[in-house]
Amino acid sequence: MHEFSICSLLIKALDHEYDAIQPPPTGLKSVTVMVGELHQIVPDYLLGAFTALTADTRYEGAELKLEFTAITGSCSACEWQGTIQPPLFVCPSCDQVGVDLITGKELFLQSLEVKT
Amino acid sequence: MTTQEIKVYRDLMGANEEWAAKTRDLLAEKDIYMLNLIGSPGAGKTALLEGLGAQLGEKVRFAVLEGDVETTNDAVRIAKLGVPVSQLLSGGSCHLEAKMVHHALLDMDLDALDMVVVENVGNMVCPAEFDIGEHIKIAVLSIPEGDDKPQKYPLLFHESNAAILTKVDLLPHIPFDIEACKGHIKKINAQIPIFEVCALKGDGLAELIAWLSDRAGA
Ligand SMILES: Nc1nc2c(ncn2[C@@H]2O[C@H](COP(=O)(O)OP(=O)(O)O)[C@@H](O)[C@H]2O)c(=O)[nH]1
Ligand SMILES: [Mg+2]
Ligand SMILES: [Zn+2]
Repeated sequence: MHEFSICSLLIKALDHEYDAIQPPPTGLKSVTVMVGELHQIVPDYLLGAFTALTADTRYEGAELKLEFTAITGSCSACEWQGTIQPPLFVCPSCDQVGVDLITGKELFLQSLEVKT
Repeated sequence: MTTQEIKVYRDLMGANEEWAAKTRDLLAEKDIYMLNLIGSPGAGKTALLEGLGAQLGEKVRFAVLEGDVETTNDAVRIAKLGVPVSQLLSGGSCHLEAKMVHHALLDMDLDALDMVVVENVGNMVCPAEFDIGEHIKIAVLSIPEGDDKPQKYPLLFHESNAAILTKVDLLPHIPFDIEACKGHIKKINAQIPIFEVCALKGDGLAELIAWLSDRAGA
């Protein structure tokens, strides 16, 4: 269900970009989305949602490419900075709780590849 | 056929963010504090609101926005308390979006309110990601769900400003290590208060009411 909601947001964003392309393309070959790992997305579910939601539309047959970004952060108490493993918000260096996120929450439409 | 690559950098949450920002402006103008209650279906969110009802109402003038996938059952339960309530049906979606909430707020008598409590659609993942313009999120976790849920849904507990453990009357009947659970929450978000309540008997509600009315500036 989560993947379906994210996919409908993706299609809204895609519509916005696709309609703005001049001259109008003849089709969509692929779309790349950057997904932060904090969203706990199951890739197969998102790909399945994309296939289902684009069936019989102008995007039918387009490939969805996912680029995952790791959860990274920095510690407010010590100098540590790096990739965060579960438990997610504890500093691996000084054990302090309160790691500030740097990446991991992304949800961006990154690029499209259109047929002209 | 030739192909052309077009770089964009569009935040998928962008449109939702715009509505959330409008809501924040509206709430600031009307001096209203808004809470977003998030937890699984059946965690006891509506029962909690029923429990808070009368006593919270003595301290702050509040209204409820009930988010559900289907049915107006929960709104009917709240209306019985004499609290103003609106039902938002997400129509199959697993969370409320900022636009729906904004329109629901515009339909309320905002000048007569100090606080709005939103009961989000039952789910621990999506509602944590969709900003609806609230001041704070509150995670609601019931004892039968298990003490490991904060570890499984860390984002919710990270984004929340308080956690409420509900159905504590069931502790004698269910293997649930409440200290371990609180420890898991503190390892995600060290500062937040954790309330332990039984909405049916009223245990723990006084502390929660005091905290809420304090936050709302009442
Ligand atoms: N034992 C016990 N049951 C509760 C408590 N609060 C709610 N329930 C029960 O849990 C079920 C779900 O409650 P409800 O408020 O509808 O959950 P919601 O889906 O989160 O709004 C209902 O059968 C309630 O009677 C509680 O404090 N103790
Ligand atoms: Mg409910
Ligand atoms: Zn550190």
